[in-house]
Amino acid sequence: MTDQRKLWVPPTLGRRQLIVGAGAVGAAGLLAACGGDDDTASVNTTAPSGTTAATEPPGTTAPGAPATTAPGVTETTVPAGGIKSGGTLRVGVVGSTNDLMDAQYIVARADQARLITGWEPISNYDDNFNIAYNNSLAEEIEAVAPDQYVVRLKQGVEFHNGKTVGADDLIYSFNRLIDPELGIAPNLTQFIDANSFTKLDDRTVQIDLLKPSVAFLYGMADYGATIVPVDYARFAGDPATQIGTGAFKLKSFTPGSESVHTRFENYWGESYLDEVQIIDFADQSALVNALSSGDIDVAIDVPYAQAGSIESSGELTLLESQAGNWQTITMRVDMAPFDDVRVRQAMRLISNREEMVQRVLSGHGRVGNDMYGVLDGSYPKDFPQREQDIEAAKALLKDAGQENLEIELFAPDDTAGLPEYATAFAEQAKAAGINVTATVLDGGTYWGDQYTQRVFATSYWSTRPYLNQVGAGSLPTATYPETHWPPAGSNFVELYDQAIAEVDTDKRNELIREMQRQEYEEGGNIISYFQNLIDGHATYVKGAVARPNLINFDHFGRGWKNIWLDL
Amino acid sequence: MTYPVTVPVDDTIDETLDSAVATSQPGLMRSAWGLWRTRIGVALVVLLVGIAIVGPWVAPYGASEFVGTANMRDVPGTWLGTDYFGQDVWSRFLHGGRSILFLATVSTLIGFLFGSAIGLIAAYNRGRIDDVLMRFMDVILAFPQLLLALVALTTVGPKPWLIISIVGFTTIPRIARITRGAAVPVVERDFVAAAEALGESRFRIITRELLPNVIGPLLVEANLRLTYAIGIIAGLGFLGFATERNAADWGLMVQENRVALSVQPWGTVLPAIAIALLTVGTGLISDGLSRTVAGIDRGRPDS
Repeated sequence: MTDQRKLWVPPTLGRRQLIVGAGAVGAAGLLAACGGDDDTASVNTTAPSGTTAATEPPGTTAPGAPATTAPGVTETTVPAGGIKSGGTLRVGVVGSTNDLMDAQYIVARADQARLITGWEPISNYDDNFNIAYNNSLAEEIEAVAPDQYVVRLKQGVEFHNGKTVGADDLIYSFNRLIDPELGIAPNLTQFIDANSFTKLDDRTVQIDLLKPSVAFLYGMADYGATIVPVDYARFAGDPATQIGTGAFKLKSFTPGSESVHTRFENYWGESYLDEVQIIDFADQSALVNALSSGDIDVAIDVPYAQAGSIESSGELTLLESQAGNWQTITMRVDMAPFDDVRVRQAMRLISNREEMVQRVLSGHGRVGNDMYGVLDGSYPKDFPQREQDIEAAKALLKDAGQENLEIELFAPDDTAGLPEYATAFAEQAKAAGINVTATVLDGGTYWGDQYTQRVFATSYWSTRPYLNQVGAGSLPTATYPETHWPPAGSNFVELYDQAIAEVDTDKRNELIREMQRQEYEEGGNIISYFQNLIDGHATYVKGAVARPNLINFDHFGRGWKNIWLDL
Repeated sequence: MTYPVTVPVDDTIDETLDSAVATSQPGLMRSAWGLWRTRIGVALVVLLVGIAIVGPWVAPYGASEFVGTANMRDVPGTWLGTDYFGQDVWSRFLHGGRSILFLATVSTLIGFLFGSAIGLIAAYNRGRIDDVLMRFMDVILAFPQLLLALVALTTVGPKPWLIISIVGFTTIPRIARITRGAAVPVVERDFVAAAEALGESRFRIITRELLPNVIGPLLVEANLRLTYAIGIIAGLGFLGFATERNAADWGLMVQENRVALSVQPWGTVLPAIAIALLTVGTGLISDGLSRTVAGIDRGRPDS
């Protein structure tokens, strides 16, 4: 896992794998979902719990669908012409001999690609972060109460071995997630146990939670909350054991080298390719070189610095999707000098967000407004965009008696962007007359004992629904209380408890809005930007759409079923 | 009273040694200047040292000033576009030579002073002192220079004084060996015996009799060491051991911008060319000096 940290320029995968040691969890969302009081796992996730805002437009599985009007669409590769079938797609991804294959668990991005190739989740998100079923196995999920859900599966979906997907498989899948031996999503155990499931009929299961949580509903839409057949186990050498429901079934897999997946004829939806090869590369440069020389058709996750070389090539296309991944400068609200809200506000006014996007991300991102959960439907887009205002910052600092503040801002050397973010902030702070020193520490040291203890530091997150993120980072009980939010005397926790138990979306969003307002005005995060996802592919590869997304190459073509070759 | 060192009286000395002993420093320089390689070397070094010294004053932007989107070639108001962090490549280049030249020069100077002193003392005293000193030098030589620097820098952190100390320290034995090698035959010469007979102090004999007679090879070696020091310090910068984050430094620039080589080559190519020309320049100078010292190319019409 360690090497994983170095792999991406945009570190979308979890760092905390390192810390937690457990590795990222495929069932991310699930965990995150339960995030309320706990969960390590969610954070570990590689892929953000909220698997994403971006799915196909409801009801569409055909890749030929026009580039939808989803906000944030920057480019489309969807052609006007007819779809062609057949061919082999060669996908390059950074991987290593530590690669594993598990239907519900991942460590690195290569694992994520293979998970999504073979297995499908219970539900999924649509472009607005609402629950949808077009790329998943449930027909419907009914929220009877905040602590009771009924899942009904689609009829007649087949596993790769011909068996029909049923209620028993769903129950087995949940139990596998909370299996202490596997440690996939240990924190889920506070919401479900072996007795939580009642089989109503062959394809319907009632789930009674141990305590109310609407986040659980969203967790089932995570890409890692997949359904596996009863008795499924992690890959241990025999490709025939890797039974899922995806459009491509496993033919062979060599960790650190490649996996080959062939077309599953009885897939419940449509697909076009004959074969998919997922090929490992040691680093991103090798990956981009392979794409340039035509050895692969798709390069997953291209460094920002090399995006230009793909853009300028006539034979390659850049797929750039808006994402909700964010990097933040964290201020501890319970420690001087940031226990004074004026100092926090001054710091937020120092950040020149547009400059941050241009400097740190080479322009491949958009400005942030000190709030997270940007892809969540509850995100308050109407709050005024915060801009750099050095004079106001100076005045606030003066009021707080901190006009000559000297402080050290820490960043880890293993996460691209964070050292640059800290350095750029230190540079901008000079204008306000304060002295910020950017100190870059070795990653192991940075994410060690002192992580979450430092007064002024940096961090990064993938994105997840707002409440799940609060559970992971902004509660006294959060797994990673980086800012030690909320401050004493705040009613933030009560609001959270009400929201998590509120089934009505509108009412819940109202509560969330108040929580966001508090963080927007007084919070300890300086969120200057959100990062884009960037992939490169040959122009003849069709079917991926650039839209707000949490997973690369348009969510790996939802298991490649959307992708076709125009050869 | 000093015995006139520039007048060799012993006819039996061979031509090469004769030149080494007989050539006074100004003469050496003048002869070396006659060689084209020296002139080109000096021109290169003067150019790059000039850039390093004058550069920061003529740079259009500050070294860490934001000018536009990172990694772009065509940015209005800039010559060569922006680097990995949205800064002006040309300005960074102009700012980036000082530290490397300063560190390399000072560390070579340290190596030169201590190394020549140790070499001369060893050569003059012979016997036990010679053995102890030179074995100690051998021990230092046993450590690869770059490896030692990496260990020290990782332990203590990239401080300028540490870079200077390490590079200087590891340069000492190399210069000491050359000095001793050149000085041993000189010690055998009559004028040294004469000086001893006149009761001159050891210090005086070493500095007035020995040193001027080995200055030729010493200069060659010092120049060569300067070349290596530039290479090592640039290498350390490339490996990320710059004295401060985002410092303008040629070695560091190569490292920072190499990912974007295909998109914005200037950030990598410009400092790499500068380092290359600088080392080629110092290399040519030492080559010119060594040829003069060794007597090669002497007597050519142009010299």
